[in-house]
Amino acid sequence: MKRFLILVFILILILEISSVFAEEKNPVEVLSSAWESEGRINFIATETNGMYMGGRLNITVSKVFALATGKFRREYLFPSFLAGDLLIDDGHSSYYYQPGRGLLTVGPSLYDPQHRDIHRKLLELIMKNYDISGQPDKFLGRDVTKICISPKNSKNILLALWIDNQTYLILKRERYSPDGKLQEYSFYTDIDFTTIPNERLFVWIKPRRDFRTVERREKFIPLEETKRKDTTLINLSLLQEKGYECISVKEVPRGIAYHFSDGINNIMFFDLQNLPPMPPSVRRITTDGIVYSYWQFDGMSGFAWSYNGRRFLIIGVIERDIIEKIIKRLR
Amino acid sequence: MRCNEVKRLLSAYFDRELPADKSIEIKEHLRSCRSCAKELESIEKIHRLMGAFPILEAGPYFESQIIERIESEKRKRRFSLGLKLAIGFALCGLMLFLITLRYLPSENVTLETTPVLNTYIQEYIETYSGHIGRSNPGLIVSVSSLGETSR
Repeated sequence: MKRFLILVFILILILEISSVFAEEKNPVEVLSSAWESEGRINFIATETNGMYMGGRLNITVSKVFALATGKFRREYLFPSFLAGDLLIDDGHSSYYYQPGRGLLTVGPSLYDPQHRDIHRKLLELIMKNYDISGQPDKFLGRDVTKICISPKNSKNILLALWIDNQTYLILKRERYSPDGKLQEYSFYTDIDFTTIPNERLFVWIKPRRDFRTVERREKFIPLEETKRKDTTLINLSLLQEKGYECISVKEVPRGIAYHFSDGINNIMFFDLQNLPPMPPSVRRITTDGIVYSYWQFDGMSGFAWSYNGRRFLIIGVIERDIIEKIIKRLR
Repeated sequence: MRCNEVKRLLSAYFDRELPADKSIEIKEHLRSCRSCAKELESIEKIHRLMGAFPILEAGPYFESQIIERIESEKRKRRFSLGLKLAIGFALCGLMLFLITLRYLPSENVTLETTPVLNTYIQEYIETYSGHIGRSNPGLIVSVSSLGETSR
């Protein structure tokens, strides 16, 4: 009897260990698969997003429809002032219709090759600059791999993703600030992978009521071209030391925006014709006759100054030493 | 005598408060008038019923108790009025506070006051929230409308 019990115990132990090993997947492979599967899965779900900004949690709840052919539809349900708003991405353009404002914003599709390229670069930077760990978990009753992304040699999680083991769809994500505060999250509920949404849902149909249209076309400037024109900005070695790379350059109103990223943290560097009027609450610091305007909330900083006929604006999660060194390097 | 006058004097007649000549006149009238006789019967009936109630003696402090009660009622009314005024002032204060709050500059960067800066901030937010397949311009609208509760 005693031997029999020991045998049963050993068998259970072997089964448990083997099941754990069977479920555990390589986190880097899971993350890469999740990245690649974006826009390539059919599903219908309810999505909740939350973002802390200005000491306030902003929440949106929407019904989302996705087609494996890179089409997407979002119907806003909450907050009340967004209810009725509609986003359709047909793979070529995105249409964001706000009936309350009588406004349609037409922009590029997030599935276009340029965005996919940026997306791929971000993944490369995450793999280069961060530690990626994974563990089996459950979400919405489904088997998922929880991927945690932390700075190298640090246990502080900056990004956590719950990736479905079957479809590789990111079912839930949480982004934290370096000091461990939750900054942003999103998750799906009521998810349905079996129903394929009707193609007609992804076609923008002009409403009968009057509305005005705003075109929001993105004009990316090839990195090589930018490097030739302005080596100062694009090769900010200081940022490169910190693991940042310039991953895109594009035209913005009255200037050019350089997007630097280390995969998780992003810095937007604007080279502008005119500096925007600053809010009254900014702090102004004057050194060597140059006035710097500085503001910060929820970890996001803004820094603006004029020098030698050029006007710069930096927005992002920026460490103080980076700001100081950028100023020294640029002026 | 006419019926109207007799009916007016019937209560006094019943209580024997009238002069003798008036009492005789009414007595004569009642003999010939059925309606007035009936009125007298109902007065007699009421009198009998009232006589069935026990007579209550007022206590020694009855008067002072009545006065105290009246004063108490007055105080209650004054308190109730004061309470109403206080609630009214509190509501007015709350409204003023809310109105002031609406128009005071926010502790946060008042993004809505610098729309040009706002476009650049939106550009930055999009870089990290505009995850492929998760385009959520509504979230950016919501975030950018700091201090605004509706549009």
